[in-house]
This record gives sequence, C-alpha cells and structure tokens, in this order.
Amino acid sequence: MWSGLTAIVAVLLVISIIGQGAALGYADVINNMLGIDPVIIVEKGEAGDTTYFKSSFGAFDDIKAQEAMLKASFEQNINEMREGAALLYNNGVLPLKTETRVSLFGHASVDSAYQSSSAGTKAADGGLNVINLRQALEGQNFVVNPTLWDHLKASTVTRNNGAAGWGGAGVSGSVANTEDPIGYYDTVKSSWANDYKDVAIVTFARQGAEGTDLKMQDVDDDGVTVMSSLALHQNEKDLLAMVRSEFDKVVVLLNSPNQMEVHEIIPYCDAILYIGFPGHQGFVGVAEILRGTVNPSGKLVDTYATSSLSAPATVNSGTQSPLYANVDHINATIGADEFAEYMSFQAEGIYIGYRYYETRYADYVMGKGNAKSNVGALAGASEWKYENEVQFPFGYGQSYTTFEQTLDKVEVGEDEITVTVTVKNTGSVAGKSVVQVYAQTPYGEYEIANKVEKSAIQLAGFDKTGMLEPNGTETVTVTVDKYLLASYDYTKEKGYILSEGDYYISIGDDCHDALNNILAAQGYTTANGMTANGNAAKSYKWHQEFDNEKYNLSPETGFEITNQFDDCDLNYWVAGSGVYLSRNDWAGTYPVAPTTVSATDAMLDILDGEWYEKAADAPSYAEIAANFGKDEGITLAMMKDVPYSDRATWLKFIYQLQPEDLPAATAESFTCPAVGNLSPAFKVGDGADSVGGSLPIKINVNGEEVTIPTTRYCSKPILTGTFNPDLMSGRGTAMGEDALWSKFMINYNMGVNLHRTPFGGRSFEYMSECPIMSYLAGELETVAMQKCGTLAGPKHAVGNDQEFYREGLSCFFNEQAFRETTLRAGEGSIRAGQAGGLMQSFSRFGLKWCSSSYAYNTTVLRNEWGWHGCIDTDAAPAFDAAAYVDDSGYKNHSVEVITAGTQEWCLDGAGAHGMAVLKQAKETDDGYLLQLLTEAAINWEYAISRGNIINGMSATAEFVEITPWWETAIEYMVIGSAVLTVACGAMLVYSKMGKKKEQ
Amino acid sequence: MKKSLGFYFALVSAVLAAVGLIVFFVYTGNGGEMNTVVIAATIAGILCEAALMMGEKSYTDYLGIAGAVLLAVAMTYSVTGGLGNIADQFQGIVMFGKAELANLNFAMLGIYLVSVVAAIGACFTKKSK
Repeated sequence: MWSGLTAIVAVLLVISIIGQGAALGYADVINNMLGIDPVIIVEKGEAGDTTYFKSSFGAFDDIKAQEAMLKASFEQNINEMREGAALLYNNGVLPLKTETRVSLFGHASVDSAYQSSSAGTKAADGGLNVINLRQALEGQNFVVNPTLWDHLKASTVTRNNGAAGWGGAGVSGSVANTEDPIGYYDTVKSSWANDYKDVAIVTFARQGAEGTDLKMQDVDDDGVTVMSSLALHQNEKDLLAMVRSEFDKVVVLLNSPNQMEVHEIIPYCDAILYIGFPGHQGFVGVAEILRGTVNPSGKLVDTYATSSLSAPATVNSGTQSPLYANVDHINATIGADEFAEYMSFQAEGIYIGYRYYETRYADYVMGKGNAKSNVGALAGASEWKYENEVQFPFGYGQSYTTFEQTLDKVEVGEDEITVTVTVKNTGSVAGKSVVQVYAQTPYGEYEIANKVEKSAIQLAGFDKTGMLEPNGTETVTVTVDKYLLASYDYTKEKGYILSEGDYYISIGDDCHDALNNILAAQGYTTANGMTANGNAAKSYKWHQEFDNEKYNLSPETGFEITNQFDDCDLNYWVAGSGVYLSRNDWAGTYPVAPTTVSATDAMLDILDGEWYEKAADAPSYAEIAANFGKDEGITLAMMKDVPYSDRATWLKFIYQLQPEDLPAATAESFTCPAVGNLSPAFKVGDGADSVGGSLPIKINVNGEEVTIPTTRYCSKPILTGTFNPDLMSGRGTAMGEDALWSKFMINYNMGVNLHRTPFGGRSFEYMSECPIMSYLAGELETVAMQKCGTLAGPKHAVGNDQEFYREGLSCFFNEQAFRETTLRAGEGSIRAGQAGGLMQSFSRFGLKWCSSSYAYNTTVLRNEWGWHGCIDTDAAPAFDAAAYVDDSGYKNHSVEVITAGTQEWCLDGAGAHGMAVLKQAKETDDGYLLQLLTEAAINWEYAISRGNIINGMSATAEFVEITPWWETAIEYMVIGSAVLTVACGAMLVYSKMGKKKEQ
Repeated sequence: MKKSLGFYFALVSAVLAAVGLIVFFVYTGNGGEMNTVVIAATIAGILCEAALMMGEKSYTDYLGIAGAVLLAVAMTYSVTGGLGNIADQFQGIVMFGKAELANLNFAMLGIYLVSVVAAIGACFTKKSK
C-alpha cells in the first residue's frame, strides 16, 4: 500500500513542481483569463476626482450607462454594414419590396463567417447579442424556409473556416469541398417547390485566418483540378445552376473580405451584395438593404479582377512565396530557428491593386509602355484588355437611386488642395452619395530615366453626403494633403520629389471612372480604347514645377529624409537578380515567374540576426546605473501632463527605479506587469475589429449572471467601404469606449497592412489595397479612439501583407515602393494620428526582422516622423531570460532588437527579453544598453500616463502587488505533496524493514 | 511464472508510454517543441515498468515508484511544452504557439495520464502470483 501511496504523492509532486514553473511563465495569460489584477492602488491622501477619462455614457458602475454604451456600439456595427456593404450587381430585383418567403442556400447562410480566427471577441451563431442572417431577415418580415435551413445545418459538410492544418506554416486556406454535392438537396426540393420561392439567397464565404492565407493554387472539389481558392468551385457552380433553374429571383451574398471571382456568379443571379464579415449584428444592415429600408451606399476598397491571380503581386507572395534557392544551406549554417527559408521579392513595386490595373489601362489608351501585350493578361488572351481583366474597380458600388456630382471648384494651395463638389440625388429614393477624389501626377522623361513609377490614378480624399432626398443637393468639400502627391525618387534625388508637369484632380463614381475623366481631359475617347468616354468637366488640371525640397526635411524634426532601405532591394545583394514592374515596359517587366536567389555569405551574416558590438565609447554600466534608485517622490499621476520633451523630468521619474525594474517596462502582454512602484499592471486590447475581453458589469440572462463580450464590429474593408469619415471616427470612438470600460491601456488594432493580393488571410482586418485609404481612415480612427483615453496601436506596422510563412519572411522591395505603399499605409495612424504605440510585424525588411530594423524603428519613426509612441514587437513570447541571451532564434536577438529602437516585446509578460538585455549590459559593462532600457521605460511610462490607466490614481496613490490565489494554491500543492511524499516514502521503508524482520 | 494483476498494469503502462512517445515524435515532426527530457523519461519509465514485469523482487516497490514518477515527468513536460499551442487554441489566436498542434498535446496528456495511472496501479499490486 505504501508503495502505491508514495507513487501517487510523488507523481503529484512532480506535476506541481514542473507545472509551477510553466504556470509562472504564463502568469499574465492566466491572470487575464481569471480576471485577476495583480496590483491594487492604495490611496494615501486626498484623491479628489481622479476619473480623468470619463465615458460619454456615464459612470463605470452604472449598468444603464454600460447598456447605453453597448447599444451605441451595436448601432455603429450595423451602420458600418448599412453604409459599407457594396451592391455589385443588380438587374432590378433589389430591393425586395414585396417578396416574403425565401430559401437560403450555401453553408455560409446557416454558418456564416462573422470574423476570421484572430484577436478580439469572437461572434458566433447563438452567441450573446449575435444576430444571424435568418434572424436579421425575419426582422425585416422575411420568412425563411425552415426545412432547407435545418437540412443545411444537419450536413456534415462545413464551409472553409481558415483553419490551418498541421505543418506550421499556415498552409491550409483551401475551399475544396466546402459546399455539399448538389445531390444533397434532392430530399428537400419539395420545400421550395410551392412555397419559399419568392427569392433564393445564396451565401458564399471565403475565410483566411491569422497564419493562413487563402490558397493561390487550390484544388477543385474533385481534388485534382488546380484553381484559385477565390474562384467558384464545382459544388458552388452546381448549386448556383440548380438555384437559377428553380427560382425566378436569385440574390448572392459575398460573406468574404477577399475578392472572389464574381464574373462566374453573375450569369446565375440577379443581384450580388458584398457583405464581408458582419461581426455581432451587421446582418441587420444586410437585411435592411435587401428589403430596401436602407439604400446601399458602400463602395469597394479593393479591385475585383476577373482572375484573382492576375495581380502582379501574386507571383512572388502569399502561398506562392518561393524558398531561397539554397534553403538547406541556410538552415545548416544559421539554424532553422532563424526562420529564413522563404523570400518575397515584391516585383510589383507600387503597382498593387488598382494602381496596376488602372495604370496599365491608361497606358493602353495612350498606346504607351507595351500595355497591350498579352504578358500578364488572362490565359489565352492575345492582348491585355481592361474590360476583360477587371470586373469591378476600386470605389465601385451601386445604389437604389442615382446621383449627379459636379466638380465646382479646385483650389491648389501651398500645402493643401481643396475640392468642392455638389451632389444631387437625381433618382426617386433617398440615399447617400460618396464623393471620391482622385489625383494623377506626371510620368515623364525624368521619371522614366530615374525609375520613379507613377500610378495613373490614386485616391486623394473622400467624403460622404448626408441622406439626400430625391432632388436634394449637398455641397461637399474635400481637403487633400499635397504630401500624398509626392513621389519617392530612390535612384537620383534619394528623397521625395514633386514631379514637373501637369497634375490632375478628378472625381468619379469609382477610380476607373475618375481616370476616364482625366483621360477625357487629355483628349482620349473610346476610339483610343477607353471603356467609356469620360467627362473632362469632372477633372481639374494645374502645372507644377519640379520640386526636390518641399518634402525632404521632416516638418516635425528637421531631419533630412533620404534613402534608408537600399539594403532591402534584392539587387543590393545579388546584382541583377530582381526586375521591378515598370509602366515604361509592361511586357518586359511584368513578373511571370517567382524570383529566388541563393543567400550569399554576406546575406547569411545578416539573416543570422546577431550583429551588435559594444561601441568603443559606450559608457560603463556602473556609470549609468549610478543614476538609479533616487526617490524623488514623483508619481505617475504627476507625470500625466508633463510633455515628452521635458526629458529632465522624465529621467528623474524613471531614475526612481532600480535597473532591475526596467525589463518590466519592456514586457507587453495581455496583462502587462507593474514597473517597480511607478506604474501598475494593466491589460491591453487586441484586435482590428474588436478589442476583445468583456465589459465590467454582469447582466442576468435566463437567470444566470453573465459578462458581456465587447462588440465585434464589421470587417475592416466594410468600414473603409463606407467612405464615411464619421463612421471611421465612430469606430475609433466605439472601440475606444470598449477599451475604456475594459480598462485597456492600448488597443493593438487599426489593421494598417495592405491587401497586397486578394488572398491575404487577414484581409478582413486590414483596410484596403490602397495605402492612401489606409492612411486617411487610420488617422480618423486613431484620433477618435485616443480622445476616449485609450491609446491606439496600429498593427502590424508595417509590412505584414501575407500570412503564409509570415514569421521571418524576407520581403525585398525598392524604397519608392516601401515608402509609398507599405509605410504610407501606416503613416496615417502613426504620424498623422499620433498613435500612442504600435505593434510591428513578423516580416523581415530585406534580411532584417522588422523589429531589428534601425532604419524603420529609429530613422523613420523617431527621426523623420518625430513620433514618440511605444514600439512593440509582434508576438515574441519568452519565458526564460537565460535562454534569450544568445543566438537562439530570429525573435530572440534581444540586443539587436532594442538597439534598433524597438522597446517592448509582445506576449513577454515576464520581461524575459528585457532581462536578457540587462544581463548583457551587466556582463559586458555596456552602459549604452542600460540607456536604451531607460529610453524604453520613458516611452512606456509616457504612454501609460496618457491613457485611462491613470484613472483612479491621485498624485499620492501607491501601488501594492498581490499574489494571485492560483500561485498560492500551487505553492501549497508543492509543499503538501513534498511532505506527503517524504512521509509515505518513510512509511514504505519502515514497512519493508518490518517485513524483513518478520521474515 | 503466472501473470499477476501488477504485471498487466505494468504492461499497459509501458505500452501506453511507448505510444505516447510515438505521438511525441509525430508532434515534434510537425513543428512541436522538442524536449529530450520527455524522451529520456519515457524510455527510463518503460524500462522500469518492463523490469516490474519480471516479477516481485526486493526493489520492485522502488522501481514502481520510479516508473510512475518518470512517466509523470514525461507527461508534464509534453504538456507544458505545448502550453503555447493550447493557449492559442483557447483564445483563437496565433501568437504563443501553433494552435493546430494543441490536439496532439491533449492526446499526449491523455495517453501519458493513463500510463501513469496504470504505473501507480502496478505499485499497489503484486507483480507475480
């Protein structure tokens, strides 16, 4: 018996000891899950009113205020869909004014995609406050065929859900066999034979996920035929054909943030409505649009191409990203843990999305650049032709009414351009109209000679009218920042230029229409191959002299802006290895095969990630450490109004710590730890369309006390598709309030990456293929959110445009492309919106991890943009400080990361990376590293002092750390099982000795 | 030698531990975290259980305890090494680990757990009749 009992308690001892170590490594996650705040604030004096950031809905302990806040968030969610869903096709069947009894087809009808797998609150069928498609339709007095609904629900087939399979590189994203074979419907055809036949609504979904891009080379339902995952698969085609044959009216809903190949759908339906992901209650807006109680006004923020694989970026990215040619040698030399296997040469340069299709179209019309060549055209085409290549352009979306827009006036100032447009509702129903303002800048001899590429059309600004009754008019003024018209000349001037020549401002129903208006002003017509004659009166021309000075000094710091990313160009390492797409020769530069190289020894030295050497003039550790440990009586609340520029005071504040406290200021996680006794532990929000977490006050549902999850809003391209600045700001306010109530210091949100291809697994979180849209929308959302007392943290800033092998992917680009696309997309939130922080990406810029790029983190963010938010890596969990001192993986070169300017490590609640830096500082007597930890602490504390975390803190408040109950429980378990093991072991020995004696 | 209940407990424990180790290799082959302690502890645990099957000796009580403890070590490390995977699966994110591997962590937990229980069972019973 004693043998068995000893075994039991010894096993418990082993489990509790090993488990204790693991649990402490994940302490922040456990505390977050259990809702434990490990630090409490103790007031030592007269506090007064310390609610510096108040909710606009009332007190935080008032359930009515919480309910009002929740109601407003759902209203924002629904309004986004009302104004962001884009009506792509309508032969007159919509709105469904009289139809009542409907049949729903497609698995996404009964199992809709509300969001993809990523951060933030998850909405799902049956979830609290979630409204599904059926409920939303019933809310508009439709009656849904219940037999068909139940039949679909009972199927074993499930729609694609973005889940990655085994393999670790996010290689799923297949859509094969995600609809039933058509025979599955045979048994329920009678359900719509004589009833529920007013209209068929078919919903198709495409869903990537964090870590999973949609496949560029998917297989059809037969498991053999190779095709794009964004094309209709055979079971989907069969379903559409059957529905078309049995119903007079067929409406298709695109429950997908990724651009499906809709040309295949149009022959089988009467209307197509793009709805993206609806979040908690967006389906309400969908049903209202179908019924006609809401007039659609949403516009596409991506190009819907005939072939999703025709975008030049698809050749070298996503699931077609090539391996380095000598990948085995790379792994053998620097180790597989450096994640340096895949590369993506961004041959497309600036020609992402509409910038490719529309520019090539313009050159086609003007007869320039070999645009007509069939290189890059649809398979089998003899020439490239816009109308064959593009189904719906950026900015496209129909309405139930018609509008007439008149370009009243364009005023070109020194820094801004003011565009005045009058809009008239010329139709018969009320509606809202989007004013889209575009620009064209010159592409002349200088640009050709110096490889300065130009899009023939680029978004410059937008606004939206209020509700216009029939015959109603409204005058809208859009202001354009001239900076957005500058080009980056990376070969000659090595800086921003304003090209010499004719500039155009144009308005249009979409970007193609706006381009046609410019081409019309330039004298082109359908005789030149235009898809339609433009209206020259909707464009405005002015002449600009060459200017290489205006934007070459930072307005914030005076720092000279010049090339920083030469080493991110593949040709820098292997001469002549990469050709960038140029409108000067479409045929000769369109990428037709992936570009790959063998990494040279020089490249391996950088990919290895270890390059820091202590500077000869670095101060000693002791010299810097001597500043610490001086209590000045300065509390966090006292710092809340101290400007960042007051370095002396911030240093005094930080020097109250000990050096050993500093790693905590580098530790960002779901629960960030306290930093000494200067600032408390706090939580952060994470998610582009939801901050995650729950609201503080529980409610009673069916007799049970439950917490309410924060709201999941529509997918980002629906928000940006509203083209409504008020709703973009509204999202910032709504998520700012969500975070304020949840006590989140910062929301890592915004989604500033580009839809570089239509296949991005996180297109649902990112704003658009257009960097200017991301710039403008990001600024609006950031500013509004931060007014609530919640910092905005754009992610993944920048360059995380794909999920396939996102960890460590070497992205090669030229500096013009980087600055005008990737960087520009984040610049609106970070620089213009003055975001309080940012989260970086997993990608490499050239050969260096984004987080280890001095050029990006210090030169651009700090020196050029004068920005002083906190810079956080993407997820780099670390649980053991000792393991992160040396070369142990691409995210673990902590010293290279902090010397590049990065200051926090995401999901490193233990501060292990910071501890590694501190350890090296001590061991190598490197005071410079200690200085960098000090700088990190200043930026971290500055950010904390500007947000809602200081609510409740007076100048005399102190922080007291508490030990969470689960830590105590494990401790007791260890002690208890150890005592019992010793006792049982002793009894075992004693009993055996007794037996021996007996024998 | 007639087979006792303890023999079968030890046999089940050893076989399941071997299965657990195979699953662990599948797990690491798919990108799961390699931990040599899991391998060493499992092999040592199997050897202990195999020795128990040889029949009752003066040291079998200690050997049984050692086997159970070693397999518990393997079990615990196989799970703690995958906490990131499990955290990601629960939170629906891809940050700490690989959510798609969490099911293998659960599988290892289940297999090793039964193996440990069987090993403890062997400690309570005689190894030969």
